[in-house]
Amino acid sequence: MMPHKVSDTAWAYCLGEMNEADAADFATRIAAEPALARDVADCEALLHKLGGWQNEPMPPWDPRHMVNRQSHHWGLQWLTAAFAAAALVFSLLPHFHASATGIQFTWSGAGISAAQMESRLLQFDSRNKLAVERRIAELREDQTLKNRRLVVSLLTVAEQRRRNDLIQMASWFSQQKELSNRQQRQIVQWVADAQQHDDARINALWTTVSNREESVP
Amino acid sequence: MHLTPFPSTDQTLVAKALSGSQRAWTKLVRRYEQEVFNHALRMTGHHDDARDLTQDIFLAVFRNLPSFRGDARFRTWLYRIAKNRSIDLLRKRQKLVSIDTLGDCPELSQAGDVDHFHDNCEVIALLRLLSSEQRLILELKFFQQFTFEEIGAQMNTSSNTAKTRYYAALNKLKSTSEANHDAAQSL
Repeated sequence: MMPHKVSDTAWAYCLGEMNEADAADFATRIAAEPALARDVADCEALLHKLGGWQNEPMPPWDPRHMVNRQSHHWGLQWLTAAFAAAALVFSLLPHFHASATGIQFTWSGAGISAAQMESRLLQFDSRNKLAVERRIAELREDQTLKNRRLVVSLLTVAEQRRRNDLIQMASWFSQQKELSNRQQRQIVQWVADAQQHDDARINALWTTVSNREESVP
Repeated sequence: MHLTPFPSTDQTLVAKALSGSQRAWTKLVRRYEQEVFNHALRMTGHHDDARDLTQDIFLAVFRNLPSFRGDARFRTWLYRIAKNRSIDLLRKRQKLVSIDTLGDCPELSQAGDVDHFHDNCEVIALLRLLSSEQRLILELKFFQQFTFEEIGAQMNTSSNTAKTRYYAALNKLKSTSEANHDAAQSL
C-alpha cells in the first residue's frame, strides 16, 4: 500500500494543538471514518516513537576553562595596561622618583626639598604668567596694527573706486557732448544743403520765366 | 543538605557570569548542558560530534554573552545559537546515511539500559531521514516545545510556514516509516 499524506488537521489533533470543541468534532469524524482512524493511529504511533527519546547524560567536561581563558585574557590586558601606564609615568616625569619614605624631587640632577620645589614651581608659575601677559599685549598690538592696515587698504580701495567712477562719468559726458556736436553739425549741413537746393530751383525757375518773356512777340 | 529555595534566574546568572563569576557560568551551563547535548545528539546522530557541538555551542554562548540584552528568554537565545551551530556543522559534514542503518545505532554511548538505547537509536534513525532543516524544525517544536511564533522568528519565516514545514516533516517520517515497514513485511 502506498503511504499517503495525512492532513494537517489530523496532525494537529494527534499533537493536542486543537481546542476542545474542534477535537471533539474530529473525534466524531474518526469514529465514523475507518481510514481516518487508521491515519490517526499511525500518526500517534510515530509520535509515540519520537516521544520515546530518553535524555542521555552529558559526558563530563569542565565549562570553567572558558571563563579561565577569558579571565587570563583580561589579566593579560590589565597587565599590559598597567605596564604602559608605568612606562608613561616614568617617561613623562623623569625628575620624580618614588622612595620608601615618600617622594623626592630632583632638579637638574640635584636633590631638592619639597619647599624648594614648590618655590621654584611658584617662580616658574609667575614667570609663565608674565610671559603670557606679554604675549597677550604683543598680540593685541599686532592686531591693532593689522586692523589699521586693513582700514587704510579699504579706504584706498574706496578712493580708487571713486576716482574710477569720476573718470568714467567725465568720459561719458564728453562722449555725449561730442555726439551732440556731431548732430548739430549734421543739422546745419542739412539746412545748408536744403537752402542750396532751393536757390538752384529758384534760379532755374527764374531762367525759365525769363526765357518765356523773351520769346513773347 | 544544601537547600536553594530561590534558585537564581537565568538573567541573574548571566549578569554574574559577565562580571567574571565562574560559579554563575558553571551553574548556567549545568542548567542547560544535558538539554543542549541531547539536542546535539539528535541533530548529529553521533555521540562524539554531539559532545563537540555542545561545547562549541556553549563557547559561542560565552563569547556572545555580552550581547545578550534580555529581550528574549535566555533559553530562546541559547537555542538560536545552538541552531546556527548545528546547521553549520551539518552543512560541513553533509553526511548521507542510508535507510539501511535503521535499527543499527553504533554512534550512541550505550551508557544507559538496553531499552533506552534502542528507543534513542530508533529516534535517531528516524531523524536521519529528514533534511537538516526539517530535523531542526522537528527538534525545536517536538523536543524543545517552542511555539511556532518562536520557531518562525528563529528561522526567519512566518509561524504558518513553520507549522507547514513541521507537518511536512512529520508526514515524511510517517511515509518513510510505512514504506520501510511494507518493505520489511514483503521480505
